[in-house]
Amino acid sequence: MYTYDTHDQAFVEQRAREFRDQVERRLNGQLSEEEFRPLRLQNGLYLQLHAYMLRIAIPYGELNSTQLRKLGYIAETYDKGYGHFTTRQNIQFNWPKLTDTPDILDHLASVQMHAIQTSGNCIRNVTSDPFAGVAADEFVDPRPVSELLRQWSTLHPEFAFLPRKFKFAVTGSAEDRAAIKFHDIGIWAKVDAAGAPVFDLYVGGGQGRTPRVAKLFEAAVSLPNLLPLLDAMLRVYNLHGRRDNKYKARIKILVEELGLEDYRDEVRAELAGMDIAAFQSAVDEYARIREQFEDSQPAMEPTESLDQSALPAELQAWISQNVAAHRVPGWAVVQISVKPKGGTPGDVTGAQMKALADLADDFSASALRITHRQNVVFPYVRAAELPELFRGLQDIGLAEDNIGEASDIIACPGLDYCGLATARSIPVAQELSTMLRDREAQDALGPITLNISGCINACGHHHAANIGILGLNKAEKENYQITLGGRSDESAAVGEVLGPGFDREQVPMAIGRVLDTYLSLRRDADERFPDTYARVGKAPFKEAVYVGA
Amino acid sequence: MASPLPTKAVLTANDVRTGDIVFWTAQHDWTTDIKKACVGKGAVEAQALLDAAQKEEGENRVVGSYLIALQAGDSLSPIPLKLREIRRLAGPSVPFGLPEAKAEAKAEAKAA
Repeated sequence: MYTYDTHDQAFVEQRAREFRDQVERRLNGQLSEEEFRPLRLQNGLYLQLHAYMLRIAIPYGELNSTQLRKLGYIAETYDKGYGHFTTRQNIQFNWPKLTDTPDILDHLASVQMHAIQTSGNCIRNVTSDPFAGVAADEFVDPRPVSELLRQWSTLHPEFAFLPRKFKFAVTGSAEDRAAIKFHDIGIWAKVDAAGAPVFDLYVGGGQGRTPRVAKLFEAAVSLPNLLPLLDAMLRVYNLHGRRDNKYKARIKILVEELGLEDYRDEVRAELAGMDIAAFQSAVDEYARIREQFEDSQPAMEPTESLDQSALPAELQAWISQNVAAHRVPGWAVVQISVKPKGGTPGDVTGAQMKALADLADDFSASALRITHRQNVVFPYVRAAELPELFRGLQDIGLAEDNIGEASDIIACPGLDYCGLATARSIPVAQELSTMLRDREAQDALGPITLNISGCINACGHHHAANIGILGLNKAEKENYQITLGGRSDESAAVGEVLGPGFDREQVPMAIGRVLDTYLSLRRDADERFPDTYARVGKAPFKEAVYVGA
Repeated sequence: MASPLPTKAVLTANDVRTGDIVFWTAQHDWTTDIKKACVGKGAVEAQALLDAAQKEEGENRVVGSYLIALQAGDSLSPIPLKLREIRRLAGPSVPFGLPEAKAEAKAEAKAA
């Protein structure tokens, strides 16, 4: 993984010192809340429904065991013993005291972490493929360009006060596991005929109240041209993006109002007036970063794969469901489900964090990733060691074999924690995962994404799910709207609203009927939910769900 | 245009240092127990609560203060009108963390 140089380290330490001073001034009355609010938000500290909440950046979801152990320590020392992995591959602590946050930031800085730009109208944490560097279908490791973007966007003087927050995602594989088309700018790294990295840029994707799939802005952008072009794209957005209405301030609205062609023309005009020479150091920096990633990869010699025939059934099931193809024969990409039956999606206790860190040391060269589906990935596991790792995960309650199944639910914190939410997400996820785990034991439902958001801001990515659930407030009662047919892969699509919403108690029934309908209509067990939905349309699902509801 | 003042309300905020949810009392102090909160009835009392909020925020004791509209009636424990405030008052409806935390929460609930 990327290791901080002296500049990076000095920067995060300086920021932690600055924030300590700002907190002291807030507490002794030198700063009012109005003055302090933007300062705390720039350091990831929100005031949520019940308390302060600290969102910590995990750049492109990559962590080492030392960092995760530190997060476990923070959970146990400064919070209520747990943290929540988010859909931006970050972690949130729900109960920190303001008086403790300077110490927390010092602890983070000591392990090359921070909470900078996890809030506010700036470029947020860059997300990426959790299989980066090890995926069997990878063209280019997306981490070097993700890190380059992190460095370029951190405290970028022009982009600290954009019209609205701005999200990048990067992938470098045939399968899009980073949902790039639901981002303000999505980057798909590939290689040209000479083997050099090139980048397809997508713009104007996003969720929230106006969900949009990003459009192709330009294909095969060379590395030297990448940052100048991104800079120009952001400059045009910064200039023309609406600041009069925050609901229309994202770049997706600008692209739609201008039209893609006119936006592209504006960007080209901007680019023509820029000093491109100023960006040339980015090419050298990319090479330096890439070398770091390559040097830090463990030596992985091809080896024999694991003979599964004699393994216990539960271990076979876990391997079949949770282990993905690795680029090196005999090695495994292990996906650890943070979606236990009846549990809270993405919540991990401090003790589990520490235990996961120990397991990463023993089985994954101390490396792990957080996924945007709120799970954990061990990227460097010898297939022969899968049985031992599985036993270790069983010991800490993280051996659920449901990756990619409907019970692998994404859920935002919802009205249990979030000040913006209109309904609860977590209890719905808990009820559904209990129902779905029982059902998955009987029916071969196949891969299905089911995501829940507790408000229209869509942090739970409901628009992008095969089955989406949106929690609303209807006359001061929680009400849940169902969307169908969304997907966040390379064939990204926004789900369609099925019909009127349901009371919370009715949601499992409605989802059960959606699944019954899918099973009865799919051509065969290989036809996935969104493909069946695209073929048959909404009508049969609507009829099944609402008749007698 | 400012929202009309609720006819029955309590003043809430978060403690600036800890972030804890707090309520304003008749003794001109803050409590974490809504049952001890000063209930303002009518526009004049609601305005008095807002005046207290402004002063307290200015003195950096609390942050994010506002009035919670209450249901009519003489319940011993004030009941908010809005779903958001009911949930905020109740705290998270799910146990903290995963299995061991869940077990602890259950044990605590049983003991209580």
